[in-house]
Amino acid sequence: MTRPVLFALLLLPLVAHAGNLRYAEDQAPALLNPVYGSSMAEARASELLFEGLYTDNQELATRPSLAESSELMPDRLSMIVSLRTDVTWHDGQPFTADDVVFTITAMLDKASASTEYGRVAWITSAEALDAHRVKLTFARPELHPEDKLFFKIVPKHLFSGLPLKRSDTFRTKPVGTGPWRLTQFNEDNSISFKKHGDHRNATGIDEVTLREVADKNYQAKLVLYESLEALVRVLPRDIAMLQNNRKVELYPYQTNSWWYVGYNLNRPGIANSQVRKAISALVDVEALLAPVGTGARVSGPFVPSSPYYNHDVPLTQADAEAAEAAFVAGGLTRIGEAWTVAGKPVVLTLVAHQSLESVQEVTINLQSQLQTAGIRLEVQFLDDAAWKERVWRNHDFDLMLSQWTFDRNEDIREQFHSQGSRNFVGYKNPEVDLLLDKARDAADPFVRKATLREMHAKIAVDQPMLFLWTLDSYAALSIKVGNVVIHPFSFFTFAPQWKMK
Amino acid sequence: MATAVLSGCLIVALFWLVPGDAIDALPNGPEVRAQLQAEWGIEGGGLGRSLTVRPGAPVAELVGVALTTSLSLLLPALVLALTAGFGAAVAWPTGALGWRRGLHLVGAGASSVPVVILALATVLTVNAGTWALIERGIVDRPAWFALPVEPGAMRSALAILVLAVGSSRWSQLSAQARRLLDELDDASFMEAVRARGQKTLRTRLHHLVVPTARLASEQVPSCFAGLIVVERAFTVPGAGTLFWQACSGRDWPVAVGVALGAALLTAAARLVAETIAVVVDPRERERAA
Repeated sequence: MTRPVLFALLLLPLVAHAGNLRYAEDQAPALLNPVYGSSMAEARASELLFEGLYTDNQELATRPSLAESSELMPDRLSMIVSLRTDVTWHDGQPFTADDVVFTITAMLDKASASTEYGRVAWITSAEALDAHRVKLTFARPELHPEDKLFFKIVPKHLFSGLPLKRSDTFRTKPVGTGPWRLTQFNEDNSISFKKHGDHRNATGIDEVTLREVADKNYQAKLVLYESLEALVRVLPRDIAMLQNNRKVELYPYQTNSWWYVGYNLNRPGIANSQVRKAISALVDVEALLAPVGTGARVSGPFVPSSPYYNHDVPLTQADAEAAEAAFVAGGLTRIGEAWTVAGKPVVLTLVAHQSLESVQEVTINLQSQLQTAGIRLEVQFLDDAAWKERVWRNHDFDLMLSQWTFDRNEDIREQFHSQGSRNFVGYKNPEVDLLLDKARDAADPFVRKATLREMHAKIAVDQPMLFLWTLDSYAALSIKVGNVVIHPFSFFTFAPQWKMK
Repeated sequence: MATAVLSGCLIVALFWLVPGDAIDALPNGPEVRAQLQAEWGIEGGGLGRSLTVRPGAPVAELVGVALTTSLSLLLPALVLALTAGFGAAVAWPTGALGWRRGLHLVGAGASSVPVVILALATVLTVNAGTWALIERGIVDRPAWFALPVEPGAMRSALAILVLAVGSSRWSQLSAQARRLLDELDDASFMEAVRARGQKTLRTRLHHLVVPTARLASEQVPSCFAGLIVVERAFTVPGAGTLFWQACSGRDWPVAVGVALGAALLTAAARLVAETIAVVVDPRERERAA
């Protein structure tokens, strides 16, 4: 009896997925409120549902989205944004200036504790002049404020007022103005989106489904099996497999993302610049990169394609003699095979986020390189919650392996300013602080570029981090999806122009 | 550890069962109840609200839905494990070689594989095999393909199979079942039935009901542990998946809720087994009285 049933199940007809784009995330977002975005999975889903006042065109230049035009005042301390009048929310309500004011006020509201506060911190006030005009006032003169008005707008009429909460029902019933609207959160943690019929731009994809595939190693197989139409990032080891498949197309794209080994400058031994210099000189970065994939090495906190990258700063090179000299200058003594301090062998703790791609290969390789040179490295892999407690809150590590990903503004202030909220390594250099302030306030893009390049050189000398590499990224899409252009940060920004064949 | 978890569950259960809550214990009037309920996530008698898994969602509701899904795997898996266990006991190997010995070794081997490996191997093998058949044009693409992202009967069937084999301690189960059958065969009342020339099947079945119910209830805790792995591997949104997500997201109200639900269901299984014993077996009835 059982055998015929199983056989019949095996022969069930193919389910058609015409017009449905299915893509994978390691973990589906638990909430879809762009005021509380905290992961790239949420950012990508938000890109489908919501829109900002401005967005990127395919050349990554700013173009209006919900805005129609803007007028910057001569003192550059305020601007008036005129909004489109043909925009409706997914529930049919008209989009107005009140929504923009509400969103900015909510993000600025301390009690709402928005994770997007940093995106609006430069705005001091937002005021609706009429139904479709908003006046924004800035803390400092702004040269191109449009470039910072990419954050997503939420509908005022679906909130009962301020402060907002992460637990507001909006989290699972988001309503935006984007090209797709949410259909439902499914039981298997997948999320379904359907084309927003009233959107001003017709999209070529009727439905989008976000599927949770926890096993990152299995996502490429599912593209191969035609169970997914899109994979945001292909693991290096899967590139060849997908490249050889006629039904899959690989799309290379450049991300503003770089890997690093951070030194905890709050630890007395690590605070010694000679010790950091020595450790950096012990690491063969090329050998670390090899098992991770292909990419470009970086010498500072920008990717080589960035206008702010200083190409005059040399890359660190493995140099055992220089490392030895630096260790001696730093007060360490070699006893036998091990480097010691006050007679005790140096033992360092490296923490790494367990979800970081190829993290085990990199750390084992790094451990081996340092061990060979006489430094014992204890490695701890942490899940997200443990990472935030150890690294973000308690700064409890000697070394950390991680990566930073930036949007097009490449604002690294929070990472390197002595008061920066993401400065987990405890880096403090008044000159760098001044340069960061100068770059932030620069009205002239050339001044900003020169300032950040100078800052790059100073950071490279101080070595609060060993800068490693930026990886080449590939997305995989079924050949059923045409007209594909991928946005390096938000992925789906140009998806409305994609077509399902 | 298990004692600590169970004690925690018991304490939460007792707090839950007794009338009143923390707000009632404060010297405040009813005017602050709504405010404190919102602040503390206390919903009259509920288990609070999820912190990170589904921020703000009532834990009782989340756990209830997840446990219902899990039971749809757990109950068939228990039935399957018991059937296989008694089947193996009936076909117990009598010699060093032969098909019975082979079957027993295969069963014991499969059940000794860690459930996580069994689950992943099942997914990979079924997918790879089916894809090979599809590529060669031997079968059309089935609706359930590819595991585990397509929900459906096949995914559930395989999850039940893996749970039954991987979490049931099959070797012990079949050995226990064999011992039960042997004890039954040697019992004096069975000799009497045989002496009267009556068929023994009905008597056997009657006397197997109670030990089988007890055996099933003993399997429940290990099956719950297996659910965490099986549900993750097959992307089933049950209590195991919820517990995993709660632990990853440090959502302690949800984790406690799932643990409490699992503890209550385990206790319920034991209660059902003992109730059956009292109803079916007059000796148990006398003992209970």
